[in-house]
Amino acid sequence: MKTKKIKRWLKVCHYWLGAIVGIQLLIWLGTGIYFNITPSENLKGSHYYRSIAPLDLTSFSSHDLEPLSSILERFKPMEQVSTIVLNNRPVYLLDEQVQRYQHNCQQQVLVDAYSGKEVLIDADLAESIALQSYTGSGEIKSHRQLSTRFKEWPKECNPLWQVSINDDLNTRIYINGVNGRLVGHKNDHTDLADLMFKLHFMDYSHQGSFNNPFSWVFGLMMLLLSLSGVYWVIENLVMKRYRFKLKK
Amino acid sequence: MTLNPKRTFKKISSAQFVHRWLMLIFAIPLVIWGFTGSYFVLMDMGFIRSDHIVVEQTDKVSASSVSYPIMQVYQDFPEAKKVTLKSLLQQTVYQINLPGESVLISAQSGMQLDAISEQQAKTIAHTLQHQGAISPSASIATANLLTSKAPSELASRYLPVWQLVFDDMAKSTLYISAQTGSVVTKRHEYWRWFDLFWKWHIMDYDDGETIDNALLFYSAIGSFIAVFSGVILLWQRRKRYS
Repeated sequence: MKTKKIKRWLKVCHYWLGAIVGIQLLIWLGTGIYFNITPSENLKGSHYYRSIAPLDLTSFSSHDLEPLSSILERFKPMEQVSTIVLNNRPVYLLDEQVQRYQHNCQQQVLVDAYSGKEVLIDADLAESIALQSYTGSGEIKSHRQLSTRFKEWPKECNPLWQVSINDDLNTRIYINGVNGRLVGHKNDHTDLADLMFKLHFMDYSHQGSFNNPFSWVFGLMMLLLSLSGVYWVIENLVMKRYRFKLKK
Repeated sequence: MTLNPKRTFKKISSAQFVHRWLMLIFAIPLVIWGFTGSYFVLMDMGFIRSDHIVVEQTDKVSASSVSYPIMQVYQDFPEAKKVTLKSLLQQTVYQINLPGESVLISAQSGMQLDAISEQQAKTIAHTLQHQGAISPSASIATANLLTSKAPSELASRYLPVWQLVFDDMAKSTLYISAQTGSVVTKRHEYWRWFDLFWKWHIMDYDDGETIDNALLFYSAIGSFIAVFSGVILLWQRRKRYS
C-alpha cells in the first residue's frame, strides 16, 4: 500500500516538475544543439579578428626609453610595470594593483616610454587600435565612449570605446578605455550567440554568469525530473511495458 | 497476426509511445546533463577558478630599487617581447619574456637570477596560505619540478614549473613557474570535478575540447524529441494530474 503511494507520488512529481521545467528544458536542448552546430568563430565574433602584432623591433629604439626610476617617482606606489605596445609605440603600463582578469576594474596608468608623458586612450588612439585588430574591408562608421553597464560585456568593469564598422556583419570593436587593450569584437553573429548563451545560462538578470538563482532552482528541478523519469523507465522495464505489440 | 498500418502509425506516433520508448535511451544523457549542469550552476565559478587563492598583500616596487636602466635590459636582450618590473621575494626584478622562455634579472645589478629553487617556490606558495585562501594548517605534501610533460590540468606552455600539492581536503595544487616565480595555475578537487563533468556535459570523452561532436548532436536531437513528446503529454494528461 505504501509503495503504491510512493509510486503515485513520484509520477505526480514528474508531471508537475515537467510542467515547470519543460519549456526551459527544450530551450536548454535547442540552444545546446545551436552551440554544437555553430562554428566557434560565430560564437566569439572572430570573423574579422586578428590579435595585435607585437612591437616592431626594427623601428624600436631602446636608447630613447625613459628610465623607470624617474617615472615611478611621479606616481603612487605601483605593484608592477610592464611594457606594452599601443599603436606601434612602446608604452609603460603601471599597475597599482594587478588584477586577475582583464574585465576587473583596472587601477592602471599608461606612460609613453619615449616621452614619459601620460597616455590617455582618446578616440583616435582607440580607432587605430581597433583597426589593427580588424581584417575585414569595412571602414569606421562611428565611435562611442561607454561608461558603465555594457549590453555586450556584462562583466566588464572598465570604461570602453566602441568602434563601429560599416561591413556586412556590422562589426563592433571594443577597446578598454583605461589601458587600450582590445576587449573583443561583436557582430551580427554574436548577437544571436549571446542571446543563445543568455537562454542556456538562464542569465535573465544579465550578469554574464550561470551562477544565478534561476539556474539553481531550475537545474535542481531538472535533475529531480530526470531522476523521477529514470524511476519510471525502470518501472516500465520491470512491469514489462516495453513490449512492441503491433496488433491490438 | 495481421497488421493494421493505420493503427500502427497512430500508436507509434502517439506522444505516450514516443516519450516512453525514446526515454529508454535518452533518460541517461538527460540525467547526466541535469546532474553536471546543477554542479556548474551551484558551484561558484570564481571559487572553481581559485579566485579566492590570492596573496594578502603584494609588495610595491619603489623607484629606488630600480638602478639598472630598462634601456640596458633591452640591449642585453634585444629579442625581448615584453619586459615586466615586479617584486619577487622581497627583491625588485625585471622579468623578460623572450621567444620560448623567460628570464629574471635583478633590477639593482642587472645580474641574471638562478631558476626558482624548491625552497623559493615553497616560500611563494606559503604567501597564498591564509584565512579564505589555502588553509594555513595545510602543508605541502609533494613538490615536483616538471620540465618536459605537463599534467592535463596545466597548459604545457608554462613549463618548466614547480608543482606544489597541499595536503588539504581539496588537494589544492599550485603551479609556480620555475623561470618567473609567478603562480601560473591553481587547481583543486572541485575544479577537477568541474573539468570531468564538463566532458560529460558536452559528451566529449577524450579531451573535453570539442563541443561539435556527433554524439552530443544526436543525443541532443533525440532528447529534444523525447522531451517535446513529454510536453505534449503534459497537456493530454492534464485531467489525471490536476
